[in-house]
Amino acid sequence: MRMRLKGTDGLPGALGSLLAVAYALLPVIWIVSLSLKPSRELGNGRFLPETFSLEHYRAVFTDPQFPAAILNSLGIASITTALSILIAVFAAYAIVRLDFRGKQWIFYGTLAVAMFPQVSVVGPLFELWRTLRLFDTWPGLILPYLSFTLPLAVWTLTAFFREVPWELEKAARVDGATPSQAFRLVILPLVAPGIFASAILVFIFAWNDFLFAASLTSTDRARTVPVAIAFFTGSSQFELPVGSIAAASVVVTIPVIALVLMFQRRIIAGLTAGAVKG
Amino acid sequence: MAEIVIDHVSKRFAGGGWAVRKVTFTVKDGEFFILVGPSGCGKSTLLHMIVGLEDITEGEIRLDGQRINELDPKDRNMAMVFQSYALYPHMTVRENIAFPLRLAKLPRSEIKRRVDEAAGILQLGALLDRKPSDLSGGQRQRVAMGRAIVRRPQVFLLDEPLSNLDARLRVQMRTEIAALQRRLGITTIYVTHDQTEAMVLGDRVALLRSGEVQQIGTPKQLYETPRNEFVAGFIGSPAMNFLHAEIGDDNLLLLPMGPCPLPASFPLDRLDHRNVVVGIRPEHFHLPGAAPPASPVFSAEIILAEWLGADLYLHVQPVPSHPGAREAPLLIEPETGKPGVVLIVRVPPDLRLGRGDRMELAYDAAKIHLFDADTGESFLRNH
Repeated sequence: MRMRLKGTDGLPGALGSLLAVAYALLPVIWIVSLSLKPSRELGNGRFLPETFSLEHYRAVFTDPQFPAAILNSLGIASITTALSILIAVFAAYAIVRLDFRGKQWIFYGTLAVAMFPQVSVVGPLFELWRTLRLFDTWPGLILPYLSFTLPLAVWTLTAFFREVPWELEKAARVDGATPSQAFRLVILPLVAPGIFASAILVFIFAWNDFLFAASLTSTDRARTVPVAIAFFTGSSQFELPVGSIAAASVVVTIPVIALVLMFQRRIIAGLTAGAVKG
Repeated sequence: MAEIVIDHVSKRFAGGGWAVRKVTFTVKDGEFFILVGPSGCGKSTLLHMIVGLEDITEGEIRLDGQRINELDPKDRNMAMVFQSYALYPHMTVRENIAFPLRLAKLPRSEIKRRVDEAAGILQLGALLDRKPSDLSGGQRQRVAMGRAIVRRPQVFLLDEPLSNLDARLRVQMRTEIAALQRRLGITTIYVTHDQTEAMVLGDRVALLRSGEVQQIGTPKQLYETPRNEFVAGFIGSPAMNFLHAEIGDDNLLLLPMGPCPLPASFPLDRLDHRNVVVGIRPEHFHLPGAAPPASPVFSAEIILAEWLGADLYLHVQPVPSHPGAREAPLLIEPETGKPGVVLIVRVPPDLRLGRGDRMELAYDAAKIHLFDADTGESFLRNH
């Protein structure tokens, strides 16, 4: 089934869209449904719960591990996002506007880093972090996240900076702005959609990461939600806590959805229309 | 007071080429000064150096006697209108115009007063809450002007401000800019590639070519006494006709359309038997009856007629009149393989002649220009 993007295709188009949405959302609905079933119904194989219960939600929040993991996740992902965007904004601006030696190398170097298989650095990092006492700490996760999200942010923002007419900056300077005022008051607002877009991508990367979080943490000090969920234990070692896992999964999805909904309207390109002739 | 002195200013680009070379001139207080030239002549670069957006490689720029080479653009108190207008797209018209005042940290009430005043002058009152993307080209142009005048700058710089407008609007805005400049009395430097704008607007004009000043003077001086062939060809529309000619015995100028005695006002002793380029403007051709007495007359065949309502421009080829010459004019000279001589002449618009017709034409020998065939320098007449 091919998806059509035209909105005027009538019934076939609508059906196609419905199919695609259903395909993407079914597992999500399944998880939500599981999280709302009381324990005794978990194995009944029905798509929708017969009775609704919040017992699994209560369970995951009474366990001190989960709230701690959420706090770790929020903190680590937020700090990663803030730092990554801050560095990427300046890097992308420099790549677009300044002429310096090795500019191309930096640009393609970042791309190379993004393509680097993450698994290959986990082992060495584990050893290194233990020596540097970064194992099981926030910085211990923020640092690798930065190195893998920066290329993404730099590339996205470079594309946005390229769209800004340079004359606007000149005009601001002539109008009496210092270089930093010109940047803050004129350039930055115009690349805001790019900043929001890359911030969301960076946040999602840091929020979803399992590999680094599983390898470089060991306790509640820095363990993030994806790992915490994987380490959930049932009442006995033979029981898989399906309900709690489902409830926790729903909870961790909420911040990401909220973030996207909040900023999606800001990510509308075309803000630069009308700056120069056209 | 704002007098700008450009003192042997040069600009070398990173690649090594000179964008501007040893340019020197003074813009007097309140003057409307034009920098004109073909694209790539360095006029915009020079303007950017004056406002501080480009470094100066050599020389000095002084504002009221003070060297400003190293002064940051924000401290120069100059306002600039960019060719692209460079309006801030995320701000409304009001915010755009207020931006320089906001940076100058003026009180809110004063900002509002000055923005309203500027909006009044430029008839932008109804547009203040719109975004630039909702404005037409002419309106954007006005906003850019408003942002420039609102801070009452010492110097007003305009970089091809009209080149993005359609022909009709361009003429209208040209008039408005001229009126505004006279009203405000601000020293103004205006960059354009359009010689008409330069002629109409400028108190004085500097014509640049390849980064070097060719001539500075009033539009009239540039038109009447161009210093070289380039200036002569650039100023005036349609452009001056250029003809290669030789000076024969008895100071007789041997032109393709026949010999012409050289006016005595030229330095005849320096011209003896030289190869020269003769320049004749289209408007200095006349019908034989309307020409000044003793004007040389020749026959020509019309190859193209451009009728503009008020004027009629004919592209003609002189028909050799001396005995034994071939009859029809040719677009390609068979002996040399070069294109034949084509003259553009202005004649009264009611003339009922068209392509292929023959006619008699005269030209005002007192108005011709002579240029050195090698250097292009003008042999100026003694007045």
